[in-house]
Amino acid sequence: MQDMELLHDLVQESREHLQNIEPDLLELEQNGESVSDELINRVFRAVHSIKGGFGFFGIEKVIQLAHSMENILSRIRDHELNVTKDLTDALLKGIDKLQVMMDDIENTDSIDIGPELETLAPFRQQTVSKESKTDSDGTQKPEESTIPGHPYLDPDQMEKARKSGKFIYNITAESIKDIEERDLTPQKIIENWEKIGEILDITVNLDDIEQLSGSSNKNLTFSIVFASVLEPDLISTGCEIPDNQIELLNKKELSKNDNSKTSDNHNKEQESSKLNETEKKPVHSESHAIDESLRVRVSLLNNLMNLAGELVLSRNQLVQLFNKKLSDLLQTDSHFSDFNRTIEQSITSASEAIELNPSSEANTLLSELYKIKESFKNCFSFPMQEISGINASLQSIDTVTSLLQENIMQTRLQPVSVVFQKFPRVVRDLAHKLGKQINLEMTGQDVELDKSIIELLSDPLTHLVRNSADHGIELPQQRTKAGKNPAGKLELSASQQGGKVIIKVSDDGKGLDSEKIIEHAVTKGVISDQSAANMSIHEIQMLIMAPGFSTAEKISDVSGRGVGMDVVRANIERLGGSIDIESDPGYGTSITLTLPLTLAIIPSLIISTEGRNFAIPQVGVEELVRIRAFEVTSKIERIQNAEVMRLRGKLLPLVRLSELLELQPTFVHPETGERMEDRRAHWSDRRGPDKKDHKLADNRRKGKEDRRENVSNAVMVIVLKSGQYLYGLVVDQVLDNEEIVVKPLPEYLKSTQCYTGATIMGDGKVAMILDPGGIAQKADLRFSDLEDDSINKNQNDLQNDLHEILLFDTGTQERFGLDLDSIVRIETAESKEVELVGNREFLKRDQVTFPLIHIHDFLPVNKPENKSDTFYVLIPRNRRKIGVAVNQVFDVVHSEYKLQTNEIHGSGILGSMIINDRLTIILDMPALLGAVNSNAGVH
Amino acid sequence: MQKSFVTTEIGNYFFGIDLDLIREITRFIEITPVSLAPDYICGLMNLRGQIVTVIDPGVHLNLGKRSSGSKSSCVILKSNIKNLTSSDVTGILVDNVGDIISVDDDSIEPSPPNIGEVDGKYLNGVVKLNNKLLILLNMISILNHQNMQELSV
Repeated sequence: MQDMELLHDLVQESREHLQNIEPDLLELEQNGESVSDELINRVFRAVHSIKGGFGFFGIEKVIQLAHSMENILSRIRDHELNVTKDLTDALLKGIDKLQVMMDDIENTDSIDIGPELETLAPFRQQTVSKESKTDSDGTQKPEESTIPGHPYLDPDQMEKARKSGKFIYNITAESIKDIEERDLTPQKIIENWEKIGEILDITVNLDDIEQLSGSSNKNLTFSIVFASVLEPDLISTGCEIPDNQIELLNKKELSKNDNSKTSDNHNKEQESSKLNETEKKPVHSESHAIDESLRVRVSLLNNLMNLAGELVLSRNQLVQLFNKKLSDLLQTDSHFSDFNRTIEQSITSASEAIELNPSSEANTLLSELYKIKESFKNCFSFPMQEISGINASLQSIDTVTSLLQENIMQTRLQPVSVVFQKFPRVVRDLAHKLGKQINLEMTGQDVELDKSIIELLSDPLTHLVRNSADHGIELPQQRTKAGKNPAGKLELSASQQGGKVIIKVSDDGKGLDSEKIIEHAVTKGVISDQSAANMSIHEIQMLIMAPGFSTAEKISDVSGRGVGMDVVRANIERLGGSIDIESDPGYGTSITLTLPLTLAIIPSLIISTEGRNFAIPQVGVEELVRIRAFEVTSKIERIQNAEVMRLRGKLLPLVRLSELLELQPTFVHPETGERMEDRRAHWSDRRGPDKKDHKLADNRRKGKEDRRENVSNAVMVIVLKSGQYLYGLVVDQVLDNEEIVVKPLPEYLKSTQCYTGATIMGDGKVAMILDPGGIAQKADLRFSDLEDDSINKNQNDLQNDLHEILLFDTGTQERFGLDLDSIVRIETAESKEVELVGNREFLKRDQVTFPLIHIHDFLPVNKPENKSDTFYVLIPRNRRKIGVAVNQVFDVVHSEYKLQTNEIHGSGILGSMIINDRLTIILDMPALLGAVNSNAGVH
Repeated sequence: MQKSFVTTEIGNYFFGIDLDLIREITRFIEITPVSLAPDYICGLMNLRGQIVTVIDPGVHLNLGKRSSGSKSSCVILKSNIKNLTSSDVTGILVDNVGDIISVDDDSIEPSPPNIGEVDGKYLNGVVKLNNKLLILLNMISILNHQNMQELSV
């Protein structure tokens, strides 16, 4: 069992080595003649340690292959071989095969390494004769061994061991005699030895390996450099190896053969000045401190993550409970004081009565009353102090929980380089295969993403890169003809923006051919002829990700093996991300992936419909539109039996969540506040192709107008993104914005299509997480049909001139208007929330602090005389979050701009117009923000 | 050999659930119904931060759908049961939980194709007690996904 674990660790380690080797080899190839010694040595050491490691386990195929490669690498290092494309190919193939073997280390015997060895062989043979030569004069080479047979012993480690006063031994061990015959395993031996010292290097005798493939004799001779504090006369017993197989490499011998870089005077220095040594030490310890990390099982991290999630939920519940209890207590407290007052009053009136009409009986009663009052006080003294104590510890629990969760999340983050690193190889191989020249540029490799996302990202990204190389970048001749550099450029970049990570794959190739895409899409039946005519370039480009679409004229070996861009899109969306294409015909294509940082905890919108709560991941939410009760009928229309809404001149298909989920219609009883079943004929009942039916329904609708006008009948439309299309999800209410812990969807519910998972809300109830893509599919939305409606087109044109104008004031007589599109949302705030830094104001929301500005600071308008306690904050569409403080928001009106620009003008003001009989100053938000930004720069 | 069973009531029948399969039994049940889910799924429940899929065995047993009442309990099953296709944490909604009883292996009789209206497909056998018939549930067949899907089709 333990053997397996050790082997497992070794495989893990070797994988890392192999991953590091690949880019190094590619760099070698690129640098050609001017091979840097450092680089080649790095590759060599990696291959060497793989060989040594598996040598102990006697895994022959790995040893053979690694040995072959090591041999060639040493030729390269000695400048006996030039790095050619064929050579790198051979080495890369070797690396590939090693990787294959790592994947199935227990069955390497059945893996055929013949072809790899064959391709490697020519590079070995060329220089076989020189082999002995280099070995004999090896000591003169600067990089050669300090100990014979151990060319890649880490000199630093050796130095360290020596300085700490350890003896260094060169021990020879034979696998049959010293290990197998004594019923030991290599691992056992390593373990035993590690208890008494430090193993610095292990090599396997090369000659033995050569013979391995042929002979049945599996005796391997290991040469081990071992550092220990044990004296030479004890070491034999300690290691359980016969005396004659142990050789002491004393200090003198070591320093004499020391690395040439440190040279002779290094020795003198070392012996003469202790000071120097102490100076050096920190350098050593520092380099070790950087590497300090632990290997932790992923399952353990997952558990931690789950526990942290549960802790967050418990905390939320605790806070809610506490707040409820507190308000209960405060209420009881006020009841008690009332009661107390009543008693006091009765005591006063009783004593007055007794003064007028004294009686001993009454006196006793009065003293009873006093007693009651006292004991009452004792019983119900309000524990305010305790409460504030609880509150304080609750707050610290709150903070610690958040920090804990944050930190645990970070442990799961990995740099995207984990995925990126394989692309230099992929692109190189592709370029060779396709006869193209491609330069790959990668940036932002240190951007971090959750491990689970990283893992799932690999395939889609590979597909995109292959696509770019195959279909995007042209052949060198074509590029030259087009006046471009014959070498194409492929850029892969990652960057973080807020809670999202943007990954971009762009090339400077031929771009997407809209004509071809349309032609193809029409023949494949993805879209109709008519709808094609009305599509924007961007929409056409997005078509390549529609299901059943693949532009490749012939299915090439490189990309497009039946799976197309739609699979990529689906995969990215499954990760909670989105994908976008931008292509400039003739100049290249750029594909942008937007991904969440983590899958486990996501910001979501909590909505409710028919009394049930659901969560929707924020990533898919484009915007929220509230339709007031009296506007429901005018804003929501039906086209070909489907409900649609107009949003800024575009038709938006609607899905009613309650209908989709077949929820029982309910309404809140106006008096009891109870939620009851609604017997009213429901929306779906009014459907029908028959016109007469429709009219009837219309009449019925009019009859119900009263209830419709009720405020609670207003609906919220959540504009969701599914692929390139938008649609509106109609719900009753939007409740909150919350960070939710995603729990996987139970298997029994997978067939429902509409959910991606479940979560536990602050009140302890389970809520389902809705899947925007699944809902669109389930509702069978046919987006392309909508574009066919030519009548609507005309109406669109008309509507385009209409603006939705938000009306507000800043606490003065002036009225302001603002295009609703220019702001993201409106929040309420209290003046005590505002924090002052210098003379600038800041507001904190959702852990983000952003500046608060006043219009009068930037525009020639009146300054309000007194500040009100509560005010509204407009959040404009802006790269940087900023808040515009206003006093009151009145209304939103639909109107054309009939602006007067003569009277009132200036930067940040579009003009003025009369709205609702009032002169209204229409603001120019972009210009205003420009002024704010330039002003902020001055501060 | 003796085997232990937790006795439960579902409909008007007396069922036994293998004690080895049970993780715990809870009383306070707040189930969130899931629209569009198969009808043998009551919904999801929060068990100390873990999501539990609550299954209504009544649908399998041909006893009709349960509605949770005051005595209703949820029998939470272990999640690492052998031969189970799904690793979700599941719970079985029952009308009442009685006792734990031990019975001899020999006293378990094969179940008839049906007992009253109860479908025999999901049963492991029956045990005759003093005055009652204890019907042993075959949890694996109730929980197994394939069976479930056939049922929903």
